[in-house]
Amino acid sequence: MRWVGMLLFLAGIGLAGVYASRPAPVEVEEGESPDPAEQVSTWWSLAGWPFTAGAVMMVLGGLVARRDRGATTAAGGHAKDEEKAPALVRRIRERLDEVPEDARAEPEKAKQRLDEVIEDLIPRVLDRREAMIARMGLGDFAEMIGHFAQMERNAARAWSCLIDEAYDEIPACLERARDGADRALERLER
Amino acid sequence: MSDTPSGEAGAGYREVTISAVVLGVLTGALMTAAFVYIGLKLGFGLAGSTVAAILGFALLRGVGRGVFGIRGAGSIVENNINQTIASGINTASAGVVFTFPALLLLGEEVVGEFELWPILVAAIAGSFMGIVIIIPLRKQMIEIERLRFPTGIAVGTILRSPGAGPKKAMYLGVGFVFALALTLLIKFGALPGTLPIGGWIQSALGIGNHGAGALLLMGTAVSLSMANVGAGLLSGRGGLPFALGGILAWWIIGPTVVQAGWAPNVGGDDLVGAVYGTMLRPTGIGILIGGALAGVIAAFPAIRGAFRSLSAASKLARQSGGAAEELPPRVLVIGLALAFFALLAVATTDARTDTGAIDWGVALLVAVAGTLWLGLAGLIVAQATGATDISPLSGLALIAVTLMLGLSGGNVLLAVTIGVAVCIATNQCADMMSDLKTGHLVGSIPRRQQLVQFGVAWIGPAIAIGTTLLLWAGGPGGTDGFGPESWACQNEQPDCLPAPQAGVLQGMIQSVLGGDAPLDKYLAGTVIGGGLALFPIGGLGVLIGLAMYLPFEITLGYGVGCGLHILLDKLKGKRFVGDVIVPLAAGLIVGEALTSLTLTLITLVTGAGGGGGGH
Repeated sequence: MRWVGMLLFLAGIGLAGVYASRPAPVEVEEGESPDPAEQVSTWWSLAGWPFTAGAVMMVLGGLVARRDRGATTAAGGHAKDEEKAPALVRRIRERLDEVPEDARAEPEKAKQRLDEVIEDLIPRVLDRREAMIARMGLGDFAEMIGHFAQMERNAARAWSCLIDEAYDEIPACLERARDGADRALERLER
Repeated sequence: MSDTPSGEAGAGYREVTISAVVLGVLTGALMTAAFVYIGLKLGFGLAGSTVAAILGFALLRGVGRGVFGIRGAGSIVENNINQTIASGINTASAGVVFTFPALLLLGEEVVGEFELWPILVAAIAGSFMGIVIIIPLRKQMIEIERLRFPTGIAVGTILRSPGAGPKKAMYLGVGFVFALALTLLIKFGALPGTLPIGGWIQSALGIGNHGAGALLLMGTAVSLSMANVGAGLLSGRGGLPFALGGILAWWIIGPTVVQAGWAPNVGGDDLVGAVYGTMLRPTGIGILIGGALAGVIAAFPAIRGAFRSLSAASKLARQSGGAAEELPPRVLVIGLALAFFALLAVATTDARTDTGAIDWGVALLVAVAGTLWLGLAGLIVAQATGATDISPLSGLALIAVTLMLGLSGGNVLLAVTIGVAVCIATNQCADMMSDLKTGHLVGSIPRRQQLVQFGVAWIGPAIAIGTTLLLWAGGPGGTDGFGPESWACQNEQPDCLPAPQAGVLQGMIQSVLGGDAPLDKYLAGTVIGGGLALFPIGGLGVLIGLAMYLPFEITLGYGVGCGLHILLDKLKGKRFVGDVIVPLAAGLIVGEALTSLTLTLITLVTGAGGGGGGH
């Protein structure tokens, strides 16, 4: 079904695109401007029906593809990914806890932990975005990802502080990052 | 604000400081004036973020720490504030250069006598509007949709380079040097700017310049712009629909249209130009609009979620006595209301009839439609820039002008004034989103970026309009200082400013007034764009529309970058992409931007500039 939907969609957009591009010259007296309504009706008389057929095929193909994606998710096609997202956020939380409160004393360790969060764990959670949306719905996902983004931004800020040797700022950033991770996790596990 | 770090959260970390603001304003003001001149001379705009970020490193960090001994000066987030301000001011230059000079070029016989203040008010309202629109869009596009914003990533990579490690810095440098070398080779004619792959096949097979096959081959070329390839490299799979949209336009729709005998009976470049200019491009603009409208509807739950999240964060901050990290949704509502009243004030001035009376119905209609279009155009540009780094500025300004000409019964002054607001707002929106993406990567607080941008949003339009008027007054008799009919251009003087983009808009206005607007294509495209939203890929309508709107060489060059990203992701894994490809691509974007800017300045100083065109 997936390929049927895709083919229908592609054929539809091709057909609609071709007829949308069809020129529709309107004859007017010299010095006069064509009436916009007449311009559209001339185009419709030349291209209306094939254009509509293409648009309908495109819509049907899109709906089939959408249903197919929904069915894949419902059948558990991404079940493993869904289970992993909360586990990954928990690991992020653990790594944030492992960043030394006094980063001045152990800057290398702090950087290593933050690098792991920013470059490895966060992208892996975001790879599961589609599956999370399918499971949670767009509205709840939007709320969850807002908290997750707060964590991301503050982890990145802690990293920047570390590089700029603004060590005193780091604990506050980490606290906000942990808070964001906790709230995101709570919504993921709801 | 002081030159010690700002208060509240992050009191110990330099972010919004006097030095960052002053440097940002100075750099932004200088770039605005210079880029207005470049725009009038060569017909294209330049991005200022990368220039400002590198200047920030040298001055805030280098001079601040080395010469003045300020501890912690030029921190990563402080430099981000500097580049946010500089690019936020400079972004007005492109918006003004494309629209406002058209009013001067059309002359009093078409426009009538006009006052300057409504244009300035519209420009400043557009600048503020571009910032308020992104309050919910930031959450939607950066956090929820995770759009790439390639320039935002490139600037973020530069800002993070002091701590990114020697390997990443090396890849950034390799990308920079490669783009620099390639740009120089192209500039001095050792390499073509575009590889005409289809043209080579055409020659090898002995195919003529007429017919569907010829169009397919003649249109197939790859731009050697490394910024374009770099943007594709950063976008990966997410940008693939854009490349596929180009293939659909140039390999399926274009040849079919020619085969059906609907294209003019011409050959070679004339055929490519006719199919692109009168068929693909207007349909693409329609698809962009339909895709954006349907996208708003499809993303409604997410937008509602984003508002809920913004309100909750604001409430939480109030309860805890601190400041939220983001501006609350009420700023959007207040901003929209202010923009509406500003446009209404502008419209009532411009809608004066010959008897001096004001046509209130027209003024109200224009203000409502103008505000709505500002919002929608901002959304389109944010999405297009987020996915591809390309902003369909001229197409959106054209729609604004067409719409306003229709609503106002052909009032050119009113139409161009709203066009100025739309152009500035959309550019501001794209720039602010890109800056916020950079901020997200380096840990800046969005509210601070937005507030500093609010503080300086009026500067860019004022400088850009002032510079334009100054250059206009530079002609003999204090007028006609630029344009193809100006004295300098007529006499082929080195100080000729042909104002190519404004000339394009002038031509568009004349053709709309003559009834030549392709309304049928806009409408049909809008239906297709709406239908594309049903397919389960976010932003598909905007990407396909943009692909049809642009020349194929750009789409294909970008597609090469996307394809390489996907291939390397598969072969080498995500870590390799993050560690090697991201800094390399950032280097390509920054390298081309800085080399082009330097070459352009050299060209202008040595007086070797000529006319050019933009999208």
